[in-house]
Parts: sequence; C-alpha cells; structure tokens
Amino acid sequence: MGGKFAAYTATLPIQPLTRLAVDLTMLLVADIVPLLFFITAATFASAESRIWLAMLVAILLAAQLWVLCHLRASPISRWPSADRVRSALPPWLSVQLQALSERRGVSLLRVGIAFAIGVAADRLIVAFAFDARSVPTSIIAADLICLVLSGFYRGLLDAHRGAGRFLAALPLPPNYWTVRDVAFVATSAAPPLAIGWFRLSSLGLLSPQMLLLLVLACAGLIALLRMPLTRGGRLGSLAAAVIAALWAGAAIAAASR
Amino acid sequence: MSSDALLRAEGLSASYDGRLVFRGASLSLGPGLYTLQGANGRGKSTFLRLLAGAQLPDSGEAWIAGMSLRDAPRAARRRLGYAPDESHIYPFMTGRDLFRFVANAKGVAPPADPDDFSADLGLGPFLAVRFDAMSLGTQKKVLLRAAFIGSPRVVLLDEPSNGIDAAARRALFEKLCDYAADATILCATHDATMIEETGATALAMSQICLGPSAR
Repeated sequence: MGGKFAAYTATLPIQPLTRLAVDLTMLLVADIVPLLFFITAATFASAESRIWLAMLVAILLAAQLWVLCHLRASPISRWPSADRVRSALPPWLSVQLQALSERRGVSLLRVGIAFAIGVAADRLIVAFAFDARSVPTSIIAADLICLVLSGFYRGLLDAHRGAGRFLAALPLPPNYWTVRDVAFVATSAAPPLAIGWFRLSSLGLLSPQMLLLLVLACAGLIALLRMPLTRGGRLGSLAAAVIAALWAGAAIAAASR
Repeated sequence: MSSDALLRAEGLSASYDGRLVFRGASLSLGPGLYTLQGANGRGKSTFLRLLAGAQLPDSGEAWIAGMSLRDAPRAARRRLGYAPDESHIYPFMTGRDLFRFVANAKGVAPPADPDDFSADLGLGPFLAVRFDAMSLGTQKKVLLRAAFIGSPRVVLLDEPSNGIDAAARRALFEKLCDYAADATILCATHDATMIEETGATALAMSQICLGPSAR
C-alpha cells in the first residue's frame, strides 16, 4: 500500500496489521523467483546450511518490511550531506539513484536478494566440493542475479516516463537513458556476480577466457532483459523469465563443451 | 520571413486521437518578446511543445536559431529554453538538481547558487525542496529559471505568470524585457497585464495557423 495511493489509504481506517499483511503478501508474490531459488538451494544444502538460508530469507523480508514501514520520501533532504553527495555525482546517476530510492524497500530487497543468491551459490559450490556441478550452479546464480536486478528497469522507466516531455526539449543524445540505465543495472550486478566467480577463478575452474565470456554474456542478458520489462506490459515479467531461462540453458551448454 | 529570424516554423500541424488541433501553423520571429494568445483549446500549449521539440508534429518543420529541429535536433535544442505549463519533472528532483541536469544536458556550467534571477524569483529557500513538495507557484519559478540556463537564443514559456506571486512577476517581466533585446521569447498567456507591462508583441493563434474549422 505504498506509492501515490499511500497518502489516500492513510486517511482510511485500515488496521496496521492488515497493512502489514498486505505488504508481506505483495513481497512474497513479487519475490517468488528468488524464493524458489532459495528453496532449491535448501533442498541440496546440509541441515545447518538450511537454517542459515532460512534466516537469510527471514532477515531480508523483515528488512524490507521495516523499510516499507519506516522510510518514506522526505520533502527535504534528511541529511544536509545528501545534497552535497548528489552534487558530486553526474546528474544522470543522481537521477537513477533517486528514482530507485523512491522505492527503497523493493530496491534494497533486490540488492539483498542478489547478494544472497551470490552467497548461496558460493556455498552450494563448496558443498559440491567444486565438482562438475559448480559451473552450471554459478551460471544459474548469475542468471537469477541478472533477472532480479533487471527489475530496476521498471522503476527507472517509470521515473523517466513522467519527465518525458520536459526531457524531450533538452539536447540529450538519442537513447540517453537506455544506455545509462543498462550501464547502471550492469554495474549494480557486478558485485554479487563477482562473489561466485572470484572463487571459481581463483581455483582455476573458470579460465580467464571463460570469465570474460561470462561477463560479456551477463552484460548482454542485462541489456536484453530491458526490452520485455519496459515494453512487455503485463507479460513482461514472464517474457523476461523465459529469456533468462533460455540464456541459462545456452550458457550451460556452451560451458559444458 | 525576416532574414534574422531566430524562431521559424512552417506548416506545423498537430492532432490528438484523430482530432485536429491546428494545421499549417507558420511564423518567423526575430529578437523580441512575443505573446501567443487564443481561446482555451486552440492549441497554444501544443504549438509551443512542437516548437520546443517536446512533441512531434503531424507535419511541418521548425527551426531554432537556424537549426532544424528535425535534422539537427541536439544543436537546435542547445539554443532553446522551454518552460512547460505543467510540471513534467522527476518528483524527487530539487530545484538545484534540475538546474544541474539541464546545465549538464546543454554542456554549460550550472547557475550560481542562488544566482540573481533565482533570488529575484524568491527561489533561494526552496532550491533543496523536492519538486513534488513545492507549491505550484514555486514549481513554475524553478521551470522559468531552468529555461534560461545556457543563455538560449529562443525561449518558449507556457503561461509563465500563472500562479506566481507579485514580486516574482515583476522580476520575471524585467528579465523578459532585458533578455528579449537579442533573443526571441515567445510566451503563451492570457495575462493582459503582462502584455501591457512588458510591451510584448501579441500574436493570435488564428493569425499563425489554420484551425480545425478551416479543414
């Protein structure tokens, strides 16, 4: 019950518990894909690892609920330093960060889930004792990380769409936001992707050439996912999931050659 | 057509959902302050949007300081300042953010903080306020200030005096009169006082285009 409708619902006699239940339901539905990954990971993990994974999921959900309940957009910067920080950033990066901070809860959860997938995949690879399942696991994790973080595209597009007419009168190059948004999502995916790849590379399971190919393939996937998520309408998420699944299959097939 | 025309349009047409708003709109304006007048719904705001490149015309072409909006859109827009009537701005942006963004897009330094014009408009205390938390009048002032970033040769202002206080109106009128000495300023307005106080040349929509009734 957030967004622009929140101001109106605040005037209605809705119980806090009801509000919390609605928020939690929406979170669970929105995060079904990463939750399935956690469940799959838990199936293969040891009993101790399962407890850790369950705690990780609970912490992530609780953190987002807390963010949803406590952090609302402020009319004026809460911290005087925020304006100084923004002024040090390129204006386009400032716009992207602010657009996503408007949806702090979802954005933080996406980042949290992406890192959790990276860590979970790393733990699985260790549990597999670095056998032949390691590289496919790493590829599937990379695929999910890209899919989860590509959700940023919608928040960014919504923000740009509202300012479209004003932006159209400025001397911006063609595809100004397309290029920057893809670069932003790709950059945000780099740290969680690096968790699993770092271990595989350091153990020699991922050659430099393979690593470079994976980096390029992930960048390609992130760019590709923008299309269904920004133009796919209601079927956008499904189309993105299909593209991600096809990508993972192709990548695993290429890696197993 | 005057040879020193900074703002030129030929045969611009616009329609919404098949409903013709106007067609054949043409003008050629040299330096000076002009107001665009006409009844509600005659397409003044739409015409300004076409001239600003914020909306594609059904037909026709516009030139900003000699640069075609169709063939050299970025060069044309660098020479253009535009303040729409409605605030289609990122809601989380502050005035300061917007000035930085517009300056960056135009490849110029952002204005001093606050500069004389911002101060005259009374914007000083509001430059760190989010756009969606500003009053409509303050939003209008921010857009007006942003329109002059980069010293554009052509400035298009949609209802510039709408909703702003008396002190800001005076500051705006002074700015328009000074700036129009070597730039073209075209304002869509119903404000008779503004036309009287600034001595602007009044243009009627019916003079520069053919309305739907002329189909």
